[in-house]
Amino acid sequence: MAIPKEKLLEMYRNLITARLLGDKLAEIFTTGVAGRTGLHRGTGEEAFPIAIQANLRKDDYLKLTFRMDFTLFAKGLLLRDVIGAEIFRDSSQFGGPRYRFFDPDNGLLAHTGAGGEEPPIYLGAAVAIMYKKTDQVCVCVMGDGFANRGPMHEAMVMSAAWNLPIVWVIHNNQYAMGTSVKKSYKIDDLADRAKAYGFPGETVDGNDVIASYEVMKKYIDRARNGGGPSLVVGETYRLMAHFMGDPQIYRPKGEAEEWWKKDSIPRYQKTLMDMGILTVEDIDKFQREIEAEIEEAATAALALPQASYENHLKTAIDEI
Amino acid sequence: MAETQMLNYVSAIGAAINEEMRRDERVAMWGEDLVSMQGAYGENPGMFKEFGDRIKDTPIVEQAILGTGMGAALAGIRPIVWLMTAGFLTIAFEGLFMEVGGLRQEYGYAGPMPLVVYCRSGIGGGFGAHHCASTESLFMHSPGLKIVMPSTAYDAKGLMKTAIRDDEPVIYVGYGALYFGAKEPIPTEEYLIPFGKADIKREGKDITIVCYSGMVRKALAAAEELNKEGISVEVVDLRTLVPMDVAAIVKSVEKTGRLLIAHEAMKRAGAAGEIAFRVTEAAPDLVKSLKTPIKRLAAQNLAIPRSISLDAQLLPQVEDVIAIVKTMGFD
Ligand SMILES: Cc1ncc(C[n+]2csc(CCOP(=O)(O)OP(=O)(O)O)c2C)c(N)n1
Ligand SMILES: [Mg+2]
Repeated sequence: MAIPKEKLLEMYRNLITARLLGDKLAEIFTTGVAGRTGLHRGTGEEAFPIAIQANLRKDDYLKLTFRMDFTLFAKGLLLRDVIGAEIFRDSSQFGGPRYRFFDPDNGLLAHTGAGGEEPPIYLGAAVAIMYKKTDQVCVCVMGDGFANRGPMHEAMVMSAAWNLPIVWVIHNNQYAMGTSVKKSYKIDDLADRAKAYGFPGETVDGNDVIASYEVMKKYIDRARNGGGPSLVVGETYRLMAHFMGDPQIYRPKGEAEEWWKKDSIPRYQKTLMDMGILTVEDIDKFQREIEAEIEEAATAALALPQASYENHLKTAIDEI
Repeated sequence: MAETQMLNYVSAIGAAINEEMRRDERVAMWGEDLVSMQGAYGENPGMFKEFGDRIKDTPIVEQAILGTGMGAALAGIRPIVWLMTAGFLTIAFEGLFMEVGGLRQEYGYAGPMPLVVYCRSGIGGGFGAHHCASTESLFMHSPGLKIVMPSTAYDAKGLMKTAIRDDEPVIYVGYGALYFGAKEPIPTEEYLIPFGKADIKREGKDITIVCYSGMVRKALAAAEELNKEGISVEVVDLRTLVPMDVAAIVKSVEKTGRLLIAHEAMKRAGAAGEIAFRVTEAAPDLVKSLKTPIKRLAAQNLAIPRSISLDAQLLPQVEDVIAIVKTMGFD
């Protein structure tokens, strides 16, 4: 079935928004107003999370990799709140997430500092969906690095045993900090792992918006309709440093340049232009509109409150 | 005066590991991004090249890193396993607390299990509990874990060497904010610092502050300020929590008559409670005759926020040390 034109354009706008927002965040972090340095930039990896979210409803559960959280506007968060969450602002009193994207009411159960602890927690959302008999789904995306950890293994075992409505995803950007996937995996196709759990697995070009959308749609629909878990691997590349300031001593010369050639944006532009639903004028127009939206959102985000000590005090269960 | 070289904390740890690996070929080290990035934040800079495969990167598999450390230690290797942060020790909690810290004892086996579990605490910056929290008191409760928490480059080197030569499991926790701090003169000649020997980092006569790791710097800064107001502070750096040099604390408090215990870990069931009780048990008459009751200063019993604006508020700072000392009968 053809993807509706509106959906294709929505993904285009989101892709451009993500690219420009990534730059804006880097700028904010560089000027110091974020309160810290060392942003984990995700520029160049936006297409896959954008395509995933194009298949989700606001009430679905979603875990993205910490690096790609800034694309969560594609799930319905306000741009202001996304920027706010990245820079330790708290928009919970305005219906947005807390700093660093904690927002259980909107399907965000947060990432923890110990990466890779999330799969069982997100599977818990799928357990809740089972008990509540709703048609929500849960999508849990782990990086190629954290996907190697034990909790994901146990959670995948249980998801299969209980046939739970979850799509496991590995966002393979070829690196975990300085460690190349070539060093940590001894299989070429990471989706092969699905076989061991007894559910389907499929790998897709994560820099190809339409292919990613279609593959995710297949497995998200399947989970929503009681078909149970699956594993999707999106292949992309971490074009940026692990964190801003990382000297990247591990990266072979020329490797990033090769991947820039596979960048999702020019490819998607060409596809949409060939389909006759995007013109050069549109590209310019969208760019200008989105730039203005981001500027406005950034100003609003900086005005959001910081974490409040009073809220933290409320979490105390005994004398502090 | 013996010859010295100028090293910061991180280079001092590196030098210790280097020397021990040259000295004993059974010493090996593994963990995440040790080689590829020289440690998560460059904590292990370029010092390992000569050892080839004796230093290896693992996938992100903390439980396996810890567990293999134990197994290899029982099978003739002397591993240093790098667990990155003190918060991540809790990922391998069962393995560390029950297996490394207790399995030998369950069998009454007092033979060698030479494992160093190396990580750092005190990173700050809105990264939340896993990167910033101090977890040492969890592991103090285990029957078989020695705990080392150095506060200076000099101590960091001498204690790392002792840790590597120790035949029993040792948790070695570096302090994040010290890693790239000022260089200190370090003897070029080999030295080891024994476990269970506290160090008087500053002599004083009015009050004893017992502390360790990152808190030592803060206590020293507070002592400097308090000195201007006529309060003379003695700073006792425990250096190792297990074994604990209770005698050194008692000796200091016999002189000062006042005891404050300070740490960055949370207050509830933190090390301070244990320290106070050990002193009480060791010297009940001294405690009875103190000029003022023992006090403790610690982080509040709240999770370290994933927010930069609150980090400092929850952890004890220099001003807090000064303020609490002033409540201890100096009027
Ligand atoms: C349990 C745990 N181990 C190690 C780390 C340190 N760490 C932070 S990011 C990272 C790499 C994650 O790689 P991947 O999952 O591929 O995500 P990517 O950075 O590529 O987006 C590591 C090892 C951590 N935060 N948590
Ligand atoms: Mg990765």
